[in-house]
Amino acid sequence: MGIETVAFILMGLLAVALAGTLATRRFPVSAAMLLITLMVLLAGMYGLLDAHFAAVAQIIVYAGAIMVVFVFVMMLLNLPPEETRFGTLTLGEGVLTLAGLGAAVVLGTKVGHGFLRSAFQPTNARAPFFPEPENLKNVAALMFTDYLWAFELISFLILAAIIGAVVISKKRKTHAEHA
Amino acid sequence: MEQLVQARLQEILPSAGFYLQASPILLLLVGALAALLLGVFRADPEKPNFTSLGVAVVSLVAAAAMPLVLRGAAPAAHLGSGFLADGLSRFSFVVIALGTLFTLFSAALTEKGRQLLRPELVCLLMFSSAGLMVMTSSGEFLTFFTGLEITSVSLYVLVGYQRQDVKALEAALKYFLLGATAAAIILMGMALVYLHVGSLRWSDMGTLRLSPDAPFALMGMFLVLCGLAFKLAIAPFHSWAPDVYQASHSTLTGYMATLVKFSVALVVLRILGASVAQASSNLVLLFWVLGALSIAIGSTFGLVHNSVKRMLAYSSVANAGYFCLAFAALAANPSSVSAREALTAYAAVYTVLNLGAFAVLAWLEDGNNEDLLKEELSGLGSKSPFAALALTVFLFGLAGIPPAAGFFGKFMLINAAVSEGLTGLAILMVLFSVVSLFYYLSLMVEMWLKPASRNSIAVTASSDSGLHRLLIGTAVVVSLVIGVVGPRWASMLDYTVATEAPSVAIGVRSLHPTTATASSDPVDAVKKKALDTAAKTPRP
Repeated sequence: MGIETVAFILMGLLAVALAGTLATRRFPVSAAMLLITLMVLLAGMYGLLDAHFAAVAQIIVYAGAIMVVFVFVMMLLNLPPEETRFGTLTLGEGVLTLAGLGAAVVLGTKVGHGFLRSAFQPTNARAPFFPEPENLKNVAALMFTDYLWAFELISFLILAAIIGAVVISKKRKTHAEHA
Repeated sequence: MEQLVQARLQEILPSAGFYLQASPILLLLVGALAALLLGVFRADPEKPNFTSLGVAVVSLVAAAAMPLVLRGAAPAAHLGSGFLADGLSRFSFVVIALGTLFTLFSAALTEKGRQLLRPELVCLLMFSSAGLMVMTSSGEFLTFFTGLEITSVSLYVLVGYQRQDVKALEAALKYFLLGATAAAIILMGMALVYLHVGSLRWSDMGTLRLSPDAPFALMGMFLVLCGLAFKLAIAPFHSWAPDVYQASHSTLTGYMATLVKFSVALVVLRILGASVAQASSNLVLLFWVLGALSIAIGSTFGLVHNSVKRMLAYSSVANAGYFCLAFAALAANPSSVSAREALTAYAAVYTVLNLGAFAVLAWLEDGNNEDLLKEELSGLGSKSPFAALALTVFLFGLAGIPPAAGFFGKFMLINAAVSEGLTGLAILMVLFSVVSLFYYLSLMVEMWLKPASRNSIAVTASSDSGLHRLLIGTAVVVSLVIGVVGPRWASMLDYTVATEAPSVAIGVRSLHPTTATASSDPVDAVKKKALDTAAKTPRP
């Protein structure tokens, strides 16, 4: 077991532990700070998997841009600490939570067990343009050849999101003002 | 290596045929932008903008006409596998464009629906339809997902735009959060499938062996299909549907309950038919369970509800369960033509019937409650016989009773399922159809046999116009004609799926190792050839 595997497993365990902690925080800001740490850990895992582009994008986009917006919104809304709801867990909620947890465990162990047992060899139906370590070049080449249509359509997705944000947040005349 | 990318780009760059075949999508996108820009010249943005509506109508009519003009064209894939121009996509373009047109007209003719005609909302509705078209015409996961998200983002906003209404806000938030979760599940599934196959194209997935020995493929496909089941509101992923359908305006509910489900059903058809090259008992089991649950829950839960929209929401859950019969038949035999015919027939019939039913509801809600109760329909037969008659036709159709459409669709579904040995599911469907008939009939009893009471709704004169009768009358006539002559399009459609021409630039690793020669790597040979051709072809 090389140092990379050890680091990967450590980061993975830490990430799961952090995710569990952040879901139970009462103060939104501490949850946000934990989330940043989680993002950085994930970026580290991507880096260890040789997905350097995904690692850098993770830090710039998620840990950087998106988390800043999160924290800004929290400051603007001045959120009070959440009330803990553990006391009011109803029977139905409990059963559903257990069922969900059970499904997650089954999925996770099934995939993991299959992975360990079958010495999985991924097939590669489409050979990459550039040989192995070229990460960014492959992403760029695919984006502008095979996935050109999706890439162009993303601009409409973003436009729809922008229009949507304006529609939702625009101040509307109340009926009293109309009269 | 750079030449390789250049060569691939030469293959990818779309020909004139692409612009013709994709014109419905392009028309809708451009029309949406034009409709949005026209709003700039209006003083009061809150008022409906009929110029925008005109632009939208023109582009939708053109979008519905183009596929009919081009219907003889041979199946071809463009832009990699991103856009498949084949019979199935052309069929879906026509249905989606006409359905959107119907939604817009139905909104324009009702007082409350006219809020939907603000230019930005018309634009979002058209984006959403374009997203649906992108979905149904895509041949790989990434483009499909982009289309799905364009549709979903637009619909989240359209559901939530009535912000003064707490219920609508709650529905929008529920729809958004659960929809985002479903999208995440689909993405996770896509990633796992990619891990196994090394390609996002559905045509490359002949190697997908869905057995516990291939955990990534099995779980990936399972997650993708569960996410899609959420979008189809198949039980147990249905709980959002009644709330969202109840709180949004009926014209919009009609759109969400029909066109979105229609498109997602066609996507499932494409994935099951093209990718899973061999029969998979695991998938049959999945669809068996989903279908049985959905049919049972949809048929029985509708009985206890009093709100007409909630009843129709549960009816749509049951109908999504009926789709599962075709899905299961396809999973059992991916080349089954009868399952394809049944699905295209029933999805379109269901679209017509539910669009019509929700248009009638939108009409009745004008000047009344947003959310009609069953008792409020009492005496409608004497007050507005036309509305009552139209609703009766649509409900008979949904119940699957012959002169109205719906009977043939169900007949074909059962036929497809039984011929693949899914007799149990077919029996369940028939039994629960009888149960669901109870709530369809109870609505009719309210309308025709009960006298008007203090609670019953008033039919306002403003909305009871000739144009409105014409619109709903068209839907009634269409559903009756389909009911009499049968869904002819299903057997006329060419189900050949367009496939990408083999790429000289990148090549496809042989999916069948027996045919590959051990001495030379075929990919390298193809690549060398590609480099030669790339050097020969002059750069534009």
